[in-house]
Amino acid sequence: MAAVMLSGISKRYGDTAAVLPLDLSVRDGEFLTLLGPSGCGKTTTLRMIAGFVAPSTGHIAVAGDDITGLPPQRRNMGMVFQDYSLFPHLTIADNIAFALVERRVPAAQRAQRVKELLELIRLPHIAGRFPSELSGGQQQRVALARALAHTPRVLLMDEPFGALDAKLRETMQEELRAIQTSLRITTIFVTHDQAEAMRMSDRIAVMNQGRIEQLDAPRTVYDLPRTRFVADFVGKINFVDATVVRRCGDGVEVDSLGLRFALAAANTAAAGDRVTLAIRPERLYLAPVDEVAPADALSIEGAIEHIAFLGNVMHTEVRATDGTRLLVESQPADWTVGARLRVRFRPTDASVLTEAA
Amino acid sequence: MTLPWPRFLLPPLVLSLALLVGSMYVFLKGSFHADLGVGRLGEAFTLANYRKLFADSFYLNSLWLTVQLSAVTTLLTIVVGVPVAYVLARMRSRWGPVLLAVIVAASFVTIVIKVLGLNIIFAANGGLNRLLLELGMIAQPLTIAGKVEGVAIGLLYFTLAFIVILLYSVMLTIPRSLEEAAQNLGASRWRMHWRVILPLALPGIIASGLIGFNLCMGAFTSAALIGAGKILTLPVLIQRTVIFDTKYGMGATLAVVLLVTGLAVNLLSILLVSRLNAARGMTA
Repeated sequence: MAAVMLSGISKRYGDTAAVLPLDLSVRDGEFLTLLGPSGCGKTTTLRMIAGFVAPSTGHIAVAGDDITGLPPQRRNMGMVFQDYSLFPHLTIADNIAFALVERRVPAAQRAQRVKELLELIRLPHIAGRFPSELSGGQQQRVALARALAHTPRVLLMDEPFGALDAKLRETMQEELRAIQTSLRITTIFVTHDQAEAMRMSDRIAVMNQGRIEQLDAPRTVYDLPRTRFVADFVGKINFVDATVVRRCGDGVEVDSLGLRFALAAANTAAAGDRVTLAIRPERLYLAPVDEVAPADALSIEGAIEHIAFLGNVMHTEVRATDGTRLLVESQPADWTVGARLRVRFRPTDASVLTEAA
Repeated sequence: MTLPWPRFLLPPLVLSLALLVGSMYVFLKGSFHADLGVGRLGEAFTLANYRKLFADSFYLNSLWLTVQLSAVTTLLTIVVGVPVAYVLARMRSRWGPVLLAVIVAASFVTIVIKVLGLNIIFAANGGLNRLLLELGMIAQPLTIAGKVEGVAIGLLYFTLAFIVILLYSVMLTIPRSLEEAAQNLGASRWRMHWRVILPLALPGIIASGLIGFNLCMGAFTSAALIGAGKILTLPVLIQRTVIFDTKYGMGATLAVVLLVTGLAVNLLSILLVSRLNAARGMTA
């Protein structure tokens, strides 16, 4: 178990850049997720850490040792592949013991370790079976056990739950997180599923076009997205144009939606700059036109354009008086299309995106 | 409207059966009748041909030579073919398909032309021999004509392209991610091939080897042209018995023995492969 440090790592294929130079520091024992759409460079980054892809520039260090030039077999990492990649000609016990055989562990110790791991993944009775005799979820667990057998310094996972159905995926996510927490093994996990990333990670690195756009705890990524891409990729969000009136302390005062209000802002926007505010649909509230708003809330008048009932929640599209369209997520209520109402929000629930509007 | 497809397939089936079973029947029956000279066969059913064959070391030596030569050549072909097929299957370069096309085209070239090529390569004053003589690696020019080694090279040349194409498709069925998994778990390239690629390719290698073996067992042209009457494999012997000696009965008997030997080797190998697969929990 160890910290992983990427410095200036990049990958070019001919004229196309798969990964632009990036720095990433994964803490010892941390569960870090590389999240992004396909082609964002997350898998290439993982494969560079595993040693299957040689970086064009930069260095990779594990626990302070530079491993950039080491072949995969000498990196002492465990990897779980998207398609599990269990060896079809070997029994489950032999699959799990594969790395131990390479390390010349005596047979008795191997058997003991395989037994431990099969208990860890709660499948003690399948040692003698072949991968083709297992279900997808079982193969997934065996792949995890195989990757952990040689107590690797780092666990790498490339979209491991992509092939499982939604229910099973949730169970596996919880199990993996429990195992990871109990072993305290540094884990780098690749996925395009933002809910999966939220559920499991200590921190999420959101990637786009070969760059890390934001690296933060799941809560921060969700509540305070820094770029339009991050805000849009992780959950649903409203973008609202605003003009900075002046800076005040740690934040800015903005003119937006025909209102003037102050909010925190990490960026350096100055008076007169046009910026984009982002606010989650569940942070907006629908209220009757004449209802009095609480002191800390702002509101804007509008009319309902569209309603979608999704079971536990309702999505309402409101066109505000200034023409801005807002998506509101709320408990199902008896609103009808065309109704006039007020959309209410707290300025503290909005965030200012760092990039220029 | 559904066309009666099975009925369209009947004529080719009948034709194939007539050609296969018919010809087999003719020589199977011929093998049980004595030769009376100039191509005539006796009326009576007899096992005399078989008795003669198994009593005469000349025929037995020829059978043994054919089996040995085919087995050794097949092993050589596999040893050469497996790495070539593996590299072709894993090649990412755009030259991969070109190289494969070259090999496919090579398999279409008649063995007569290939033997001509071999003769040029091994000519007494040819490039290869001159080079080896200059380097002092040989004292006499190498020749292939009339030599068992020469026939083996000819057979290798004959079967290699087929075997490479077969093995190529075998290698394609092994996912690259299995190699990465093995390496990730600490296996060097060599260990990865030993523990993953070879075991997974083994049933395919055996099947390809069988096809190569069958091609060798039945190969006439390369054995006749390179052997130059000195290397008498069964196919060459059958041709001589039938054409030169006009002993149709004995020729048929030799053919039956060749067929049965080949069949036995094939059955044994298939049994081996299905055991191998059964041991892996796969259905054979």
